Amino acid sequence: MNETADSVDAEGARGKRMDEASAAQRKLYASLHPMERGVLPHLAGASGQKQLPLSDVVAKSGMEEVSVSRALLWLANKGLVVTSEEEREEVALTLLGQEYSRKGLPEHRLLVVLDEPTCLSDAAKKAGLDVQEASASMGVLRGKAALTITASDKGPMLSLTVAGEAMRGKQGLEDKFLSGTFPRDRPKLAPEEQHALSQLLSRKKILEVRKSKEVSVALTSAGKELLSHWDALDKAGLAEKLTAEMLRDGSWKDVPFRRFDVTAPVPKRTVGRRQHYRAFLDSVREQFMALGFSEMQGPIVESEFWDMDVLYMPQFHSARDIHDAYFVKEPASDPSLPAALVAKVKAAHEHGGATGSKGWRYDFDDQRTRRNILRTQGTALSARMLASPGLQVPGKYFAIARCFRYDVIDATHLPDFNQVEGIVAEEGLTMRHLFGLLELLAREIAGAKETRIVPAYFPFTEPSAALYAKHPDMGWIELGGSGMFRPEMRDALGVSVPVIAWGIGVDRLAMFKLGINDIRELFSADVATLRNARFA
Amino acid sequence: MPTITFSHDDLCALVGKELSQEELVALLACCKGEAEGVDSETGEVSVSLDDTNLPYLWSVEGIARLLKGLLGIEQGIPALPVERKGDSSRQVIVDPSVASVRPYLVSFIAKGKALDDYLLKQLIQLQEKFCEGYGRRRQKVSIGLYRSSTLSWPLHYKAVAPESVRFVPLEGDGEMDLSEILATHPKGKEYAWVLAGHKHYPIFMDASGKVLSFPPIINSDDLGRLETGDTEFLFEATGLDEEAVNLSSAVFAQALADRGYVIEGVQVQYTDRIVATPVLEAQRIIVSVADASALLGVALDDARMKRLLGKARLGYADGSIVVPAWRHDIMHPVDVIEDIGIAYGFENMGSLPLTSYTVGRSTPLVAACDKARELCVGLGMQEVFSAMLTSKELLYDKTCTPDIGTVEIKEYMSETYSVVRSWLLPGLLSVLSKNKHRGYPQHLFEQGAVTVLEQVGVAKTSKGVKGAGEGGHTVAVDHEKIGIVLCDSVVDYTAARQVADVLLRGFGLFGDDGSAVSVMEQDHPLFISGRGAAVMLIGENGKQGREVGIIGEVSPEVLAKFGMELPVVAVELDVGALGSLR
Repeated sequence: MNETADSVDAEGARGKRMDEASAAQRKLYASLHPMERGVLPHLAGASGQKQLPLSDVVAKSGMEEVSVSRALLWLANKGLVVTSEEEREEVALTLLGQEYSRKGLPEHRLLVVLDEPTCLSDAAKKAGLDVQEASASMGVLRGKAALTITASDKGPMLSLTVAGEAMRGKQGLEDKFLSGTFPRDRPKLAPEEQHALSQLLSRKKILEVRKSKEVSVALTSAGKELLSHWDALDKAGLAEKLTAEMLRDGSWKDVPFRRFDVTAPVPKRTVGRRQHYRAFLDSVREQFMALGFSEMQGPIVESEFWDMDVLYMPQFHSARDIHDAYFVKEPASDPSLPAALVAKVKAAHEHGGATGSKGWRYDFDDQRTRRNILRTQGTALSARMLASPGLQVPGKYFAIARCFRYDVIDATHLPDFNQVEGIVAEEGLTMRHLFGLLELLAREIAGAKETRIVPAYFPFTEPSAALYAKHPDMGWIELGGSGMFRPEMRDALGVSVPVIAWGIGVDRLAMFKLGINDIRELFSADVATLRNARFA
Repeated sequence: MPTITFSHDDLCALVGKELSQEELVALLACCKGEAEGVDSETGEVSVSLDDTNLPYLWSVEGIARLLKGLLGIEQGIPALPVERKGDSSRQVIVDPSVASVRPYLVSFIAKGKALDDYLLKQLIQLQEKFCEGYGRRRQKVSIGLYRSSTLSWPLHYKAVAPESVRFVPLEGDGEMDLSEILATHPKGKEYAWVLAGHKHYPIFMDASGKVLSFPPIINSDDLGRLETGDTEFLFEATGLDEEAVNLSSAVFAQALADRGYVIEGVQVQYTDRIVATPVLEAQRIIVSVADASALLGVALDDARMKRLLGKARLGYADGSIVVPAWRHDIMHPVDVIEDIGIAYGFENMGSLPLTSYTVGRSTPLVAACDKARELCVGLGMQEVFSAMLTSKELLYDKTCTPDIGTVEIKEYMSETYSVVRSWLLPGLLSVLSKNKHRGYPQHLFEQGAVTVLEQVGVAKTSKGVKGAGEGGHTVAVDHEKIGIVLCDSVVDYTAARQVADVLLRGFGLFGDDGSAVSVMEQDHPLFISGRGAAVMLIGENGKQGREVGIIGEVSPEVLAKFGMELPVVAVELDVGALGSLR
């Protein structure tokens, strides 16, 4: 097909109907920007050696120089024109130079008035020079042996030498150069003019040399070809935008649309989007719900009771120091704890309650348990869920909990971080189910292929296990912890079925998924980072 | 979590088996230890140990003991013979004066091969980890080691007036009394808190009156300086908790016996009783095979359980489990069952899937928050996610707004993170102020919880909620909010109101068929006067309800404080309240 079309075109070009534009030319024309169409017709006749200077194109087209330049660049990219650039050096007169050009150089003017020996000040007056010019000129002429200077009571007395007389009669090289027209092309100067130029340039502020680039343009054969059909092509014009009016009156049928350069880059748009880490947490939530887990929520300001004591963490545990949790000024304590439950938890800590456990064997502080802190672990929510009458058995629960710990802020620590934690409560759960759950979380939530489960320690679970996943670059990474809630803890809450508790270090998981090395970037305040962040 | 270091070769020698690095890492995991680093040149291994309640594992000797069990090299509880003389030549006399300061003491002598640098370091490492962690920074237990060859027996432990005893402490500048040590010696300053409030301080001395130490602060430079080459030394621990003090003696005695040291007992003579130390009494606990099988999910029988207990270095006699004196972590059968599981090997147990059908649901509150976020993204805004901790300066000073009741942290690390945010707009303004070099428009939103102090039990006053009134008390209440800022060269109230309307209509609160909220003019210090509004609930029979949002043009005064050079309009809505209305 194509070949046929081409050969027909070639036939046409060779044939008599030279004014008939080919399909390719129509397509080419249709891709011209209005600025290109504004410039191209003015290039007629400029081809080969006959280049047209840019300034002429600007003048003919009546367009701004910057628009003409851009249009020429685009036309050159389309192979329709070639542009060339010539470095130019122009010699121009300064203000002083203009004066000298009119009146002659001061030393010549001084020479002219010396028809008889004259004192310097009189000669200056006659020549119309100021004192400084006159004495400088005197120095120049003496250097050329045109003057003799004698002292007199009226100051230096000047009289011409024979050489001076000879110089007086004719115009010097430099004067001759100055009296010509300016600006002049430096490379085109004759040798004696070059000499005069260098002499004059050695003097102050008479001439200046300006460097510039001159762009000139010529049509290529393709350009000439296109231009030869211009009138026919340009008759219909091109539509820029499809307007409502065109649609209404049907005029879109009459005008071809300009072809766009669809590969050209476009300006960036600002975007409306979810924050990258929040979006990751959203997907984690969706996955847990899909796996049959229900979401738990709870307060940020939490009593030590719910945050730790219910979890059977002894009050002397090192994670409970003033420098590990954030204690709250007000309300400093929670007066509304359920008294019966506090008594059961106290018994569990002190002697194991009714579980047969020895307990932690210390005096449980009933006041301390009321102290308020900022939630340190999402497990507090699991504790509240186990205590709640709404607990379903079998039941699976999760929480995405903001937690707070006293920490120095660096690339791996924030005082304010997220934990994903939860529980599974069901009759007959065993450690093997716990392993199955951890493998499920590794596979579904973390997308880990290779995992390892090892023993771990948490004060509120026994047995306990930690989940590791193999990271392609970083080796084995701890993803989370898990365990069977201790009977001392469950018994105080009246839960008789086994409960698996689990938690995932979701901040770290998100860093892997989002390709982030600094945890602070999860909460980035940089709008560019937020706009350009990749999805997990 | 304590971290200890030891030599790989030493561990292998103690275990009696060459272990590759890979095997070592896997075996350490069974000790709940994570190998943090193995120096291939020096052969030094560094391990962080997870179990804060099992200090016997905080030593290379303890780890080796468990590994021997797990590898089947040695089973059950190792023997720990103690030579007990029972006369005054091995006696510590405890004066009743210590009863109220630091009542308990245990002690023994270890004799054997000469101490070298490495061994001395290992002893000091266990001493430090035990006292800092399990010993609650020396309060509950502190330990001292002494040269025993030159002691005059019996030894004395008593409490004295601080100025009455002077001695040269380790690393001290000459003789000092006990108050001077607490005031000027580095260890004195570090641990003075343990003795705070006491008028008399404990002192440990020999029969000739020479000081061994000032427990729990510092040893003497004389008897309390153990050196390489010493072939015998005295162990002593004092503390507030007899059980923990006893545990320390058993942990140390067993570790030293593992290395072949002979342990000689010391009698501790209280006014009313005599205790033979180290205290090595084993404990018993009954664990049924059925319970163990049920919790682990593997079928065990008596013989199998006995074998696994042996691997875990526990004993089994007459139907009950014997727990050695160097372990106090066994509170309940589950603690033993975990050890059985570890000895069985987690990897050998196999996993089972969860099969019960449960429905996964979120909460209406989360759903409401997500709907609001979706609308904001649809409006072309960029979501921001920030820390909830912030400062009062940002919340109130920079926004020219009075404190609305803020949860403040007692001891914070940095002022920048010293309170919980009570509203969202200050954080968003702060983000805008950090992005002046970025492209505009910058239309941002954040959805998240804020926490505000509220009074319960008393009528609320209009003047905020500072301090608990009579009968009532202050509570911290979380609210899920959405904050929105629009910033561009031209933005005005209309733009903010349009955004608010989209959200209110989305929640079905604002429409042609009646509204559940109304927008009223209300000056807010954040906004230009006359260009701020409040979104109010309309209660039953048309009464005005509570405020659930604000809309307005941020005042130039506030913008100047944030260094903003473009106008900002803002909206903050209580998503929780709006989402619960329909």
